[in-house]
Amino acid sequence: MLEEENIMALAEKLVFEGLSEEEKEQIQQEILSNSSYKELFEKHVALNMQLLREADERKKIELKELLLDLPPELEEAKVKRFGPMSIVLAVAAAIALLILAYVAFPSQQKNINTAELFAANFEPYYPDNLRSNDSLSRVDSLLKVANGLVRSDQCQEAKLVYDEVLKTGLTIQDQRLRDIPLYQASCLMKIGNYQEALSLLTGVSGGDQEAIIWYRSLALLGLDQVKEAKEFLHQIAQDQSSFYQGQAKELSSILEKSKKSKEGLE
Amino acid sequence: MSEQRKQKEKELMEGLLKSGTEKEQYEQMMFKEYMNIIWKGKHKYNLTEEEAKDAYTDAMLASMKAIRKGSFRGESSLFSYIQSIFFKKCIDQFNRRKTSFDEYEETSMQIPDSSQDVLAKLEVRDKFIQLKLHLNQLGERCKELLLYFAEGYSMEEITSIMGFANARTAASQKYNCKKQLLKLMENSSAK
Repeated sequence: MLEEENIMALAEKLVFEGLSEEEKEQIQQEILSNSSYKELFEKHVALNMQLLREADERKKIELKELLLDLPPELEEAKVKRFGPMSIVLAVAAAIALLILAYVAFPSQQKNINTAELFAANFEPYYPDNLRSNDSLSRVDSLLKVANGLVRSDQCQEAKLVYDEVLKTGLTIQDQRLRDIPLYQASCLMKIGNYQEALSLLTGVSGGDQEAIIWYRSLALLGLDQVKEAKEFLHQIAQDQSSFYQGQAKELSSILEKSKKSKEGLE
Repeated sequence: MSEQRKQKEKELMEGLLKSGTEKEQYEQMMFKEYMNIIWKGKHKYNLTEEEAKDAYTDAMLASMKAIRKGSFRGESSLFSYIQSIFFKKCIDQFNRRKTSFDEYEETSMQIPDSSQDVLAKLEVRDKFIQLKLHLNQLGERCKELLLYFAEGYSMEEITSIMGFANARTAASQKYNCKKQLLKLMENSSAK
């Protein structure tokens, strides 16, 4: 009875919390030397896994009921938010604003502290760690290493490993690899290499487009190219579905205020 | 990230660490907070609406667990974290169209990383499949208790929700229910 309680507790820990090194050692010794322990332990693990699954299913049903409140998809703006028309309109609006700004306030950008604005708005676009188990393919293993390097800001080393991934025959169009330029660019921006980050983000067609545009605007800000950064910020600010809309609006407004305060001084 | 958004994320994460109905309220709040990304996943990965909703629900469950277990350490914003999990779940949904879906594999992936190497040495798959049928043969109260436990409720919370005399009684009931479930499995294997 006591041994079974102990087995039960360890099996629960394995499934729900994770084991300590000491516990792993204990179990590994037991399952190697004691077949009835192994059998009972496997049963308890299976039981807890089944419970985990059932509990998730139940929770999932509960949560899915909340999707009744999901706002309907916006029409054209959502489906084709980066379609030609919206880009033309966004660019046209941005150009019009810029012309207006330059006519009204010819030298407005000098006193904006772009480094501060960058620091306040930049947040790394980190890849998630892949799970470590025995079944990782070569590509996944390489990605795991490269993602780890990105997370520790070793951008150049990460690039070498990502290059290895691409040598396996997969292209950047593969879904697992689509966001690699974004990871690399974010990494480079974090260490202050805005120019290279910008080159990586320019002309990327796949991946998280909302994030790409946002990070392009931040890279431009890092390079002190406020005028160009604002073009992208306007584009994001007009996109209701973009996660970055609020931040882009806020940042645009700060840039506008800087412009007005400069004008006031003059 | 704006201060307001940071504050909101902090509130959600703290709320998830609460217990009982309060925790459930925060789960629902968090679930509703980010649901607009469903459309983004749908288009990015060419999924049906239903597939994207499934991927979102799976991603939220995984994120909630990670927050509770402390494996989300706030290195990125909560939104970025949820979004990256969501995109992975979208890829899973996409791949699921091509391959037959294996419940065991999916469940074993939810087990913490620190347990994976031990799990790999065990022969759990067959037992998992056998057990699938038996949970519904348990009494309703037993099933309820075990599922609350699997959802992460503490024995104290289960005591209060299910009206046990104390946490010790609830734990002892849990033990009995598990034994009962294993017995059902053994009986069915013996037949």
